[in-house]
Amino acid sequence: MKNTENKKVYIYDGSYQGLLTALFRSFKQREIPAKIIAKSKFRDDLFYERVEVKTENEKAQFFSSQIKEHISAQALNNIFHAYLSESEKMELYIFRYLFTGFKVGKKVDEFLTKDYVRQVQDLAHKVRHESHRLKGLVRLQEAAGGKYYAAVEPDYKTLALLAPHFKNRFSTMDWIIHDKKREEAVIFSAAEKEWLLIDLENEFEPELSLKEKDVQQLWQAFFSAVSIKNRSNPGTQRQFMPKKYWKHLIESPGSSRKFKIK
Amino acid sequence: MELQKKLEILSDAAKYDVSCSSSGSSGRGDSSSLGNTKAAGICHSWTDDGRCVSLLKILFTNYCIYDCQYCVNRASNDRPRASFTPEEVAQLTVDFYKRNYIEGLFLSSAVCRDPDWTMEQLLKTVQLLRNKYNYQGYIHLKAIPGADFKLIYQAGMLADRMSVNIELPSESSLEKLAPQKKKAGILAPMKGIGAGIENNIIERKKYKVKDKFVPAGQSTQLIVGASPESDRQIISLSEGLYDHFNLKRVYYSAYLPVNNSSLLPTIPGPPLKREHRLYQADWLLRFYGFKADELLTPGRENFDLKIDPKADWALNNLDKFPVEVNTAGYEMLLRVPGIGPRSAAKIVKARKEKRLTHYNLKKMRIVLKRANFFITCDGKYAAAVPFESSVIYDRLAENESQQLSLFGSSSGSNQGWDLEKAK
Ligand code: SF4
Repeated sequence: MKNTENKKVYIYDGSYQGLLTALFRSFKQREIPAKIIAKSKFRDDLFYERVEVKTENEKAQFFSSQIKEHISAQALNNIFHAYLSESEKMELYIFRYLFTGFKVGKKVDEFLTKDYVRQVQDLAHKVRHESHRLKGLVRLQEAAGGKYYAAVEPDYKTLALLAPHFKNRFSTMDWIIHDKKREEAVIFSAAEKEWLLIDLENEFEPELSLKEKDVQQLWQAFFSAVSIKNRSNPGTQRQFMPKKYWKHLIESPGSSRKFKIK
Repeated sequence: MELQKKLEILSDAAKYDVSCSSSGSSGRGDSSSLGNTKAAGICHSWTDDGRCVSLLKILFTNYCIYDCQYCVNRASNDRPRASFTPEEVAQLTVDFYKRNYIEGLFLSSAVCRDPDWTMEQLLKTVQLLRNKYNYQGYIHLKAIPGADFKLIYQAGMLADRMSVNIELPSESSLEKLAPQKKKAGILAPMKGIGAGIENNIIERKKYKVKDKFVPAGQSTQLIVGASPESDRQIISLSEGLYDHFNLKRVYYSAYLPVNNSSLLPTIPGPPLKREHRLYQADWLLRFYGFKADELLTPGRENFDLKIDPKADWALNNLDKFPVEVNTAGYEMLLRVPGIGPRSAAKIVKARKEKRLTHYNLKKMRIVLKRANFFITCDGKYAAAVPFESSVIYDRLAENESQQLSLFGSSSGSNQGWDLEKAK
């Protein structure tokens, strides 16, 4: 690859397909960009030449299959999950990871002395960890009309990882999981058996069904009753269920201390 | 009584049961049913005492006609009582499941009216769940001792896991502490479920029968420390249960003093350390090829609380060590303290390429902290202490956190359970 004179910044639309298109362009043109950055994060910079990359699904698709074939399925997973972290410089780590990957193949994941390999793996790991956690912590509420709704505010953009899990589990229900932080949602229809990512404003809140509050109260009661008194251990509780997730739980951690069967 | 009150009473009554596992997938569920069972356990919440909440764990009723000494729900104990209806439990399970509060249901019960009536209620509950609500999430059901096996069998066709609690490690203790239960018979249903599982597996293979019987296996629980049996008796019992009754798991529960009964020992608290050692030994029986009579022998009745059972065994069989990693068989490597199935497999693979040194083992990320005392690499012994039982013992004990032994060695004159007699 040659280093072009005037340094370029690739600007993509923020989607995964967009990132893949940008990466594809770079590898195809044998051109190393100084930065790859989502449009929403880009601030004008005089020193760089701006290249706006238009998302092209076909190219993205093709590039994915190239990664799978010439590096590994695991590598493709890693970069997708690292992308979901939305962390700063994630794009460049991914770029370097792939750069090495296309040279050495699936062994790239053993290059642990390379900073960018570790970074990609660590970011991917963090995203997977949070998504696993959320599989347990997501709390659905029955809305009027029989659809189910859950709000989440995860650190990472995990909806795409949650969707397949909840599709298998709740395939006979219509449901929405709403990422309030990112103002997007995954929406599933039992009739279509398919899920879709949509934009959904932060303020959205459905009207709840008549029985919803009763069920929630039962769950709160159960949660308090199953704690063993005198063995209070808030440390362990918070280690597995950090406070940042409590807002959207129905139960209230700590409530068993007030609980007593009369 | 209001549903919430019932739920409070009947979840409170069930919470000391230790087998929280929703482990073992049975692969139920397709796109036309509600729910599925997942292989990797998912925790949905954590209680204020730091335990994972995965199942709706409740008793169907805590009205009990029996009077087991060690149990909070015994008939003679004065406490709040309640009973669900099958419809209530089914509805509650589905409501909780659909909101992603739980992975499934763990339904147990005291014995109300008589064993058959109680088992019928449990059966009705699972029938409602599976047939009326089309619920395919996880169900762990207790089989009620003394109930007609036909009822238990029908329930087993709908549940993922079943368990009959053996409760105490010997028949004589059971007779003493839970006299009504002895008559009811615990081993017969266990044996029946075990045989049912085996037949079902054969039928599914041979005749492509689709229906599964207790696909996630059978488990049991026994209480440690409420009666005088030694560890040796307990693990021999467990071994017998694994070998003859097709059990998936035996759970050990340190006795938590709940009642004042002259028949029970007075202890300051539950013997948790002992419970932990039993779990370790249980692991050795199931995954490491150990036999119960190797781990403890007549005269050595209980596990050392300072070092783990595997290290204990090694120190008592020091003539078999140190083991040369380049030549020892896989089974022997597995017996080295600190080496597990993965490390043993790695060693066997790597030594085909070259003779292994301590340095190589470290590179392979095999932890040598404990193993070092028991191995040689290419003839070299690298532990910085002499190869002597008492010296190694001290070193190993140092590694473990010290905790006072809550139990002295017991007399061990009990007969244990006679597994052969169960019909
Ligand atoms: S049968 Fe015994 S152990 Fe079971 S609830 Fe009744 S008293 Fe307790």
